[in-house]
Amino acid sequence: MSTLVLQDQPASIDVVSAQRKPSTGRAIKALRKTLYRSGAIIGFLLVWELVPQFVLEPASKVFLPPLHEVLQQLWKMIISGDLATHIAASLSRSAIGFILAVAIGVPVGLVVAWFSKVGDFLNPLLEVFRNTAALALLPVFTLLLGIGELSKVSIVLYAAFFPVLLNTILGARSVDPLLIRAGRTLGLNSFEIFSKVVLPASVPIIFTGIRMAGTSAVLVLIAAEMIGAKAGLGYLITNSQASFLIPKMYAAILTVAILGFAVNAALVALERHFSRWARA
Amino acid sequence: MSTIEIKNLSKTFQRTGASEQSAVTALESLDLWIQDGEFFTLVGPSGCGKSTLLDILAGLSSPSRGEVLVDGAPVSGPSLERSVVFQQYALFPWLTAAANVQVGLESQARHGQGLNKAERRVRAHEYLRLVGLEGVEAKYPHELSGGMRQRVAIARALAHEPKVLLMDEPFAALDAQTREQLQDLLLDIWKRTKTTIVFITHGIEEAVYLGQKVAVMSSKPGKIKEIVDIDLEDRLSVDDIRSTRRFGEYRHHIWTLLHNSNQQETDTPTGKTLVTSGAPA
Repeated sequence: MSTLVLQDQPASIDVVSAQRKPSTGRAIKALRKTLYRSGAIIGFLLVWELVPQFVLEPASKVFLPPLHEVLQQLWKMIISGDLATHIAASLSRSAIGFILAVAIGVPVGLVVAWFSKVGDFLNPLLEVFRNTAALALLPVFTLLLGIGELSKVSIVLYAAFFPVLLNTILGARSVDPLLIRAGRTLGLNSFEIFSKVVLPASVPIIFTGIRMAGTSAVLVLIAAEMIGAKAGLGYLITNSQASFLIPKMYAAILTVAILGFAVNAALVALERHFSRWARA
Repeated sequence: MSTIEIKNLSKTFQRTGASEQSAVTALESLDLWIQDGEFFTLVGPSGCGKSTLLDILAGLSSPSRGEVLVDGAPVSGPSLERSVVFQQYALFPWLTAAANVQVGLESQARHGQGLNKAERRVRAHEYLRLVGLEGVEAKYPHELSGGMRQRVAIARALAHEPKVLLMDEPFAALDAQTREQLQDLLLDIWKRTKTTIVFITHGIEEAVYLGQKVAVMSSKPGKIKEIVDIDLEDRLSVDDIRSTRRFGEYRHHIWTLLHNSNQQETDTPTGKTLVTSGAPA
């Protein structure tokens, strides 16, 4: 017994000392955590900065300029407004395609899920389309719709449509039948069951589809812009490369990375907001 | 405020097997008469069709033969007059407790015979208070315990003042202590609102404790084996009525009925005497 008590004493002293400075302790912990989490990114950026300067030969350094040169170029493009033009071109195309995909995909998905016979009929075809890479169809879109805005918005629409549609079908089909029964006993008619039970119940899964659609909308657009466009980030990348403006090319790539990251983060936040009730 | 009359009710399910079809009889030629304002419990082994019966009473499924009359009018579908409390609460997880309670009231209002928005909110709070929940109006179901969720579900079922309350093993998923609390709450509400209650359970003690009448069901096919009148004093005014001799007799009698039905029909001589002695004229 006595040894137990003795063992307890230093522990309690520790607790007291820890309680004395809780804020600094916590701050250090948080800082350490942040550092650890961003460690890989910082390491990557360091390699990017240092390897071209000290490891690569001057001839290959041209193709991989160090980070600070790229950032300088990026800053120049921000100041001149050049970058904003390209971002605006890309964002408006992907936004239009994405919004159309959501506006069409959600209602169509709900209808397909509600009328199970329609779903059974369409499902094989949907599977074929879904598993066809959108970019494989880019030549078709270009042939039919030209190289203008229409074909680019269409390819984004196509790429974003299927995640939205398929997740909406999945969400609406996986609604707990008990909730539908409860709704019926509470006086809801078929339409109200649909709008007040099925739709809200499928929102979390629908939003997962919307997030996936947002990501692929950006990815597909960049690729489409690389093939034929007069503005946009994809165009900026290929055009800079063709003009041998290598830092400019990397600046555009960096912008694409940041943009994709931001779009995803925004959609994740939106998804969280709309499905907060689902986290039991 | 409603009598329920079940006449010659049968329900068969078509089971489509690999090659041949077979029909499963869930309920066979059931007759029941449930009085206005009665607390009626149904007890039976699992698979005896008691949930099927409740579904038919609720109007969620239709009988294969026979009919159900509520106040003389045949049941043809779900209605706000017959509320259901499910075992798994069935609250809408995207709505707050108060909004859940208002779902039935909103349906009523859409049909032009209900309360306005402010009145609905007041009513929801009233019923949440009735089930012993205050201050949880703005909470979502996932923030509530199982017992609290079921209280919300009871408030939701009662808020639009139905004539009949149908309960499908509502306390089966709760722990013993919470279950006893909710049983007492339900008795209290029943006495205050005079709603006709049909309560399904597989717990014999629960059936005896709550019911004025206990219908004992047997399975395959589902039939009413016997209806036992429970003549006990007011449960809430007697301390621990479950330990009294009479309560034990009822419990044992029903246990014997259920036990025998599992062993394929033997006679129950003690049954009748207890029923008659338990129901003095």
